[in-house]
Parts: sequence; C-alpha cells; structure tokens
Amino acid sequence: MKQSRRDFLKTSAALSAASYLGVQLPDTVSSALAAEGDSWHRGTCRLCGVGCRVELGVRSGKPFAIRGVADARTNYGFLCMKGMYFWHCIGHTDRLTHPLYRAKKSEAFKQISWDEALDIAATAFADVVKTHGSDAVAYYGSGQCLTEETYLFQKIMRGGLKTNNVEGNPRLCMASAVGGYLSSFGADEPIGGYSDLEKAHCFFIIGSNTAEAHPVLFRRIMRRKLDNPDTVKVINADPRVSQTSRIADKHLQFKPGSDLSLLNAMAKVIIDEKLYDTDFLANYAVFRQGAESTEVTFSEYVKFLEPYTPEAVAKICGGNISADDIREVARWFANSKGTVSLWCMGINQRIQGVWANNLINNLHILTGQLCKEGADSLSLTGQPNACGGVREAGGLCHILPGHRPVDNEKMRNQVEEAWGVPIGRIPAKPGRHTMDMFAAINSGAIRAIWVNCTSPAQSLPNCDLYIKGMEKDDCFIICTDIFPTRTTELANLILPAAFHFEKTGVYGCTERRSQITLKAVDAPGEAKPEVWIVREWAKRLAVKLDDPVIAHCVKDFDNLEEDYALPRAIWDEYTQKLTAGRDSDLRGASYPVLERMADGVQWPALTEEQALTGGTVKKFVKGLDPLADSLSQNDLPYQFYGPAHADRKLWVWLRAQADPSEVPDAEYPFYLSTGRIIDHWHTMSMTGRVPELLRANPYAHVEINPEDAKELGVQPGDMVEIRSRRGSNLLPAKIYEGPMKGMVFAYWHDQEKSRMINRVTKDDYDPGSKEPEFKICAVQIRRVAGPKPIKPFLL
Amino acid sequence: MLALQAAEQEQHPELEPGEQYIPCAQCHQEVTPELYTEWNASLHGIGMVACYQCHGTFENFRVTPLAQDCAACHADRMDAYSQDQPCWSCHVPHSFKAEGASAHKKEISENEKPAQ
Repeated sequence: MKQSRRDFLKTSAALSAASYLGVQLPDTVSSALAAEGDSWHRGTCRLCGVGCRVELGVRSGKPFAIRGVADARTNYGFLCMKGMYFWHCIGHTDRLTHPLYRAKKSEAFKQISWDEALDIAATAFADVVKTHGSDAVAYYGSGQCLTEETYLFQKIMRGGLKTNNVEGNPRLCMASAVGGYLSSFGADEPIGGYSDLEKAHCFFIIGSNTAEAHPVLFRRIMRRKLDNPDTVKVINADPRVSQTSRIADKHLQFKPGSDLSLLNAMAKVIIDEKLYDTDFLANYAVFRQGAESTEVTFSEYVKFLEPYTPEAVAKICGGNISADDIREVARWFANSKGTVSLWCMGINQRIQGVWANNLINNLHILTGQLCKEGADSLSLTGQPNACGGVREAGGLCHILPGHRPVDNEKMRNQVEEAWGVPIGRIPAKPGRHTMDMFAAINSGAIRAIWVNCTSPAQSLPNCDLYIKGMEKDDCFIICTDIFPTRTTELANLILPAAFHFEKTGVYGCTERRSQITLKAVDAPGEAKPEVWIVREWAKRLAVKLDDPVIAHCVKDFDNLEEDYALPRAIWDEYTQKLTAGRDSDLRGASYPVLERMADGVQWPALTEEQALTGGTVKKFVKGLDPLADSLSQNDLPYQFYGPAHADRKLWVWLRAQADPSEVPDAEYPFYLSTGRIIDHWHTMSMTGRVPELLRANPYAHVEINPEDAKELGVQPGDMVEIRSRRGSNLLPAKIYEGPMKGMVFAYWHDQEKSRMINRVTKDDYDPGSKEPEFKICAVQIRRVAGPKPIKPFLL
Repeated sequence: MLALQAAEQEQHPELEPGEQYIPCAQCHQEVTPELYTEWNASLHGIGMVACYQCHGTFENFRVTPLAQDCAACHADRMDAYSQDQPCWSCHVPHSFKAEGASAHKKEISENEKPAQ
C-alpha cells in the first residue's frame, strides 16, 4: 500500500517519539472479539488489589487482546485502562530476557548463563551467612508476587537460612490495616467483601481515591449511587477533592493528620445521639485503651470522647467542615440499613495508621454495621496479592504462613513440623521490617538482599537516603524483575522473571478471594518463573553451606516442571499443611477447584465441598462461615473466633488525636501528600511502556490549590520546586481545586530523578505497623520558571 | 481490514512530539467542549473511562471506535451485535444513552445487571 507523504511524516514523528522513549508502538487494533483458532485464557488482572477477572486472547502463541467477563463477581466484565493494556508487557521489547551480572556496581552488566547466575546468587548469600551470620541476608518481596513465590522464598529464608529477614512492599501500604483488623476484630482481613457494595446504603470513603486507585470497584459504587440517588449516601472524607468526590453527597475536606479527631467526633455524635447498637455492643464488644490493651467501661469511653465535640473538631479539621456536617455524616453512617467504609493509603500511610484504622472499625462496632448484608469495614488493598501472598503466606518479618506470629513458639513449631525442619530452626525474633532492613543496608548490617518484583529505590520514602546504601559495593543486590527499574540500576545480579500469564499461580485480592492464573504464553528469552529460580538457588545454597536442611526445604519440589506441577506442589504444601486449622483455611481451594471456580474461592474454605460454593462471603456469621459454626461457643449468630482476641470480642479503642511526624512551620509551610493516578501503576516500569498509558500521564505534576497558586504567583504549567528537609523535586504545576489550601499533592510514578517525589517524603513510621507516613510531610513551594517542555522518562 | 480503513480515514491532526504527551481531554475540553461535557457527565466520564480506551492514542487514533473497543468491557453485549448495527447506532456517542429499541438478543436480567 502506497504511503502518502502525510502518512510518512506522521509515522516518522510517532516512531521518533517512540524510539526516543524506548516504547513500542501499539497494535493497530486490540480486538476483544474472538476469531476462529483463538483461545481465551482465564486469569486475574496483574495490577491493583481489586482482582478483576480477565480473559487473555492468544493467537498463534501470542497475546492479542484482553477482555472482562460479565459474570465475574469482582468486576462484572469491566476493566480499567491498566487492565485493558497490561498484557502489552508480555511481548515487550524492553523485557529482561537473560541473567545479567556485574561484580562491582561501577561496572557494566554482562550477560551470563542461568547456571552462572544461580551459582553467583548462592555464593553471594552463602558467603555473607558464613562471614556475617544469617541475619546479614534479607529478602524483600512484593504484593505482586504469586503466593507460591512468596511462600517459597520465605521458606528458604526462615527454614533454610535461619533468618526472619523476610519483608515485602505491602509493609509500605497495608501493614496499618493488618494492625487495625487484628487489634479491632482479632483477625486480619475484611469480614465481608465486594458483594456488600450492591447492598450498601451508605459509603464512607476516607483516605482513598477509589476512582483512580481501584477504578472498577469505584464503578460498582458509582452504579449503586446513581441507581439510588436518594436512598444511598456517599461520604468522601479526604484533604484532597478527587474524582471519587464526584459521586459524594458530602465531601469532608480535613487538614492532613486531623483524621483521628474527625473519626472520634463521628463516634461522639453516635454516642450523644444514641445511634449506637446497644445489643451489638452488649453481645460482642469491649472497650480498651493503651499499650496493655486495658479494658475500660463504656462510661470511660464516653468521657474520653468529651473533647471531640463536632464544633471543636470542625475547627481542628479546618477545610470546609462544619459541626453540622460531622453530625449529618455520623447519622448517615449509623442509621443506614448497611454502611460500608472503604479506605486505603490515606489512612494506612500514617504514623498513626493503626489508630486511624481502629477508629474506622470503632464506628462499625458501635453501630453494628458489621456481619450483615451491605455493611463492612473494608480496607482496600493496593496490590493484587498483598493479601493472598504477603499477609497470608508469611511475607512479612513478623508473620509466618497462615497468619502465625513469629514470636509465638507454638506457631513456629507448627511451621517447623510442617516443613520437616528441626524444631528451633526458625529464629524466635522477628526479622527487620522494611525501613529497618534498608537502614541496615546503610549501616552495613545487611550484606546481601534479594529484591523481588518491586523497586524500593523509587518506592521507599526519603529514598535518597536508602539509595546511598544500595549503591555501595558492600551490599550484594539481586533483583528479579521483568523490566529495568531504579533498583535494577543498583543491582549486582538481575534475573529475568516470567510475567503474569507466562507462569502459573494464585493471587488473593482484597476480599479474601484466591484466584488462579494459568500459564497461557511462553516467557521471552530465558526469563523464568520465580519458583524455579528459588528452588534452583536453594539447591546450590545447600551445597555451598553444606546444610541438608536447606536441601530438604525444596526436596518435595525437585524435578517438577515449573509451569504447573511446581507451583501446584508449593500451593498444596502451603494450603494443606500451613492453612489447616487457621482462620485463612484454604485446604478446599486446590488447583483443580480453583481451575473449576472461575471466580476463585474466599477463605475460610476447609473442604473442596465448601470451596466449590465459592467459600465464605461473610466471616464470623453462622450459616455463612464454616468456622463460625464449628467454633461456636454460644447461641449468638456471630462468633468472633479470630486468633488475636482470646476474649472473642470486638475491641472499641480509645485513640486520641496525635500529630503527624512533620507538620508545616514557618520554614516549610505546606503539607505535601502523594498518590496514584489512574493510568499508572506504582513506579511505572510496566504502564510507562504502554503508549496509551504513558501518553495519558507522561510525567508527574504537583497539584496546587488555586488560592495558594495565586499567592505564590504560580500559573498552570509553571515549573515549581518542592523542597523538604530531605530532598527536592522540580515539577510542572497543575492548578486545581483538589488539594485544600495549604497543601500540595504530587504523583509518585515518575522515574525521572528530579520528579521522584519519594526523594522528598518522610520515612518516619507507625510504631505498631512500621508503615511509613508517605502521606504527610512539610515542604516549601517555589516557582522556578515558566512552563518548559518536559520529556517523559523511562529507564 | 475494518481497522485499517478506519485508520486511513480518520487520522488525528498532526501533533508536535511534545503535544503528543498532552492528555486528550485537556485539549478537547477547549476544541470540542460539547463532546467533553457530554462525556464528562456520562457514566464513562464519572467512571474515568478515558478517551484513548475507545479512540486509541496518537499512533492508532480512530474517530469512530471499533466494536472491539467496546468489547473489552462489554463483551457480553456483543452476542447480539451485528455488523450493520454497531454499538453507537443506538448508544449515543459520549453520553452512551441508548436510543430506540434494543438490538440485544438477550436483555439483561435484573440479577445479571452489574451493581444492582
């Protein structure tokens, strides 16, 4: 076909832009309609914690399209743009396809064989263990790893190398929700799930831009609201007005860090106006305070709430909030036939993250907005397998598989017995949590770390401080990933991993739902599933450390082919041996069951018979949750059998307002908050390589309130410096009625160094959950120049 | 073939490389304000279904989306779709409100409706 000059120019322009970026041009059309000979492969979306069910279209061994599935319980067929396009990563030319190595970080990488790579990886860890001890090595994983991968990695670290230095990036996003659930309800993870959304009459969305971070769930909430405009109320509480606010009946814009006051004030209205559920409280709740969890009386709780009058708190919150607003939303919350709260990083990424979680849970306990249809305290999960893999399968330094605390000897022994390793093999002391782990790299206490499927060099708060440690040659860094990242830049050894649909495994989303994705296409080049990599590494570690126990950890998995048999054997071991008798019991969710159940299984599901019904929609409810029946101790319909509360009660917490780690002052007068944008995922290594997504938000901006912009003399597009006590960014300005006056908001996906906002954020963390306070710090804002052409940047 | 024809007939005006990184809606808020307003008030607008999800991005832009574009989210509605009656002959572009009698073979029952 002859090409016109105009076509040529257009194509050339596009090609030069694309080659400059290293992006691939998109296919002309992404067909979601089947043709003869095409096959469609069921799985979940690779991104975010919603767990949308998708079907990948494969033609001649290559993916050609993706589509939602209308009867999927998670997404009803809807996909957001990330879900529509992530499959372009599968055949992308930037994929890491061969192991790469350099002895020193100043050297260039050289391509090596897998045999050499595994030997180097084993030698590096073995040498450090011999010279500096087991606690000088660490694993840092991800809520995007398959459960089988997280489980096997932590098994080798704990049972093989005798260290609990096992962490993952969910520490940065979900740890406060874990702490909140355990201390409020006695058990981690939500009681209900998404099915409550269509039955709810009130939504309380706080610290979550659901529309952009969990778009498909937002569409379900949006439908519910728009179909029932008068009878369904939506409350959105956030210092920033976002797309989520569009469906809100009321947006409460509170000063960053005043959330604890707001939540206590809502509780006070509920108490003062007698909107609480007397029977629910009498049957199921106690009141507690302090580090010792001391039980207090209802009267003491009422007295504790005295200062939190709507009038006083409206002043503390600032923004647009009046005392009557607080009263009104508390009434909506308490009086509705079913209220669902949803929150995410705005609540979790706080140094009072656990407390803020407790105070949301308090509202549900007080009003009995739990365990019934349309009511739940539903923490939104950021990543596709933070719940299933990291929280449930032992991916954090203080927890073993099956929600077992490390510091509990009986629990450790159960795991040791299941693994067939000597009793006492797993150290009693929890390992280093994420921030401590990277601080230990700085101090030289950790000498070798395996970073799997995440980029801490960009995603840690105050990242420059931790990059300094990772840059040094005294810490050997292994990265498993699919694309270059800011962290692979600091690695000694890069191991190319298979991507979603190029391997088999399970993801567990926000609502306790485990879903399997089977391998549908081959990984490029020599990329391998992580389960193969870990097994082969462990076998060599056993030789180098002359330790048969390490070999024993993978003995049952030896010689299994890695695309199905290996992950299945790992899943079987984890579910059958480690979830048995636990609240996250998944014994019924075998691979054959998960393959049969299109929507997967919600735990607890003790038997295949239970799993084949879909599992447990609502925890703790007799007749719905098999454990509520089998562990019942009385005639009450709800049984709170969670492992953390021996009294089997829900705990209402007395948690007072406390300031964030850093608040604005004369020198640093603005609040900075950061967050996601709909088109991009985390550090952009995947979504930045999809032209449609890249073009939609090619680089980060800073959002500034129009009043502030006027005072600062900032016009749209002007280049603005954001400076904190830790570092600075130079970003183009968006003037936007989003962040409240006195606050700016920046996106965190951009890889370009002057636009990496985590160089500015603060690394203080919640003393309980150890989750950092990404969401609040103090900054200076200064106009540096007028608008300048900006180029997107990808490594 | 359909795609190729669409691409040939319906190209986006030339854009400088820098302009190719401006989100569609930012320009179209000014150059096609009616369409922008209509989209913004629609379920797609509130639910943040972006322009490029239906129209493609710069290199593969199409004024008229293909039925396949709709199918990524609405595959189940394609059962009744016929080549001579594409989605937008009933669903008004950018507001997506349906006009006239339904062309779908099977109406969605209440319990199948999303978010009911």
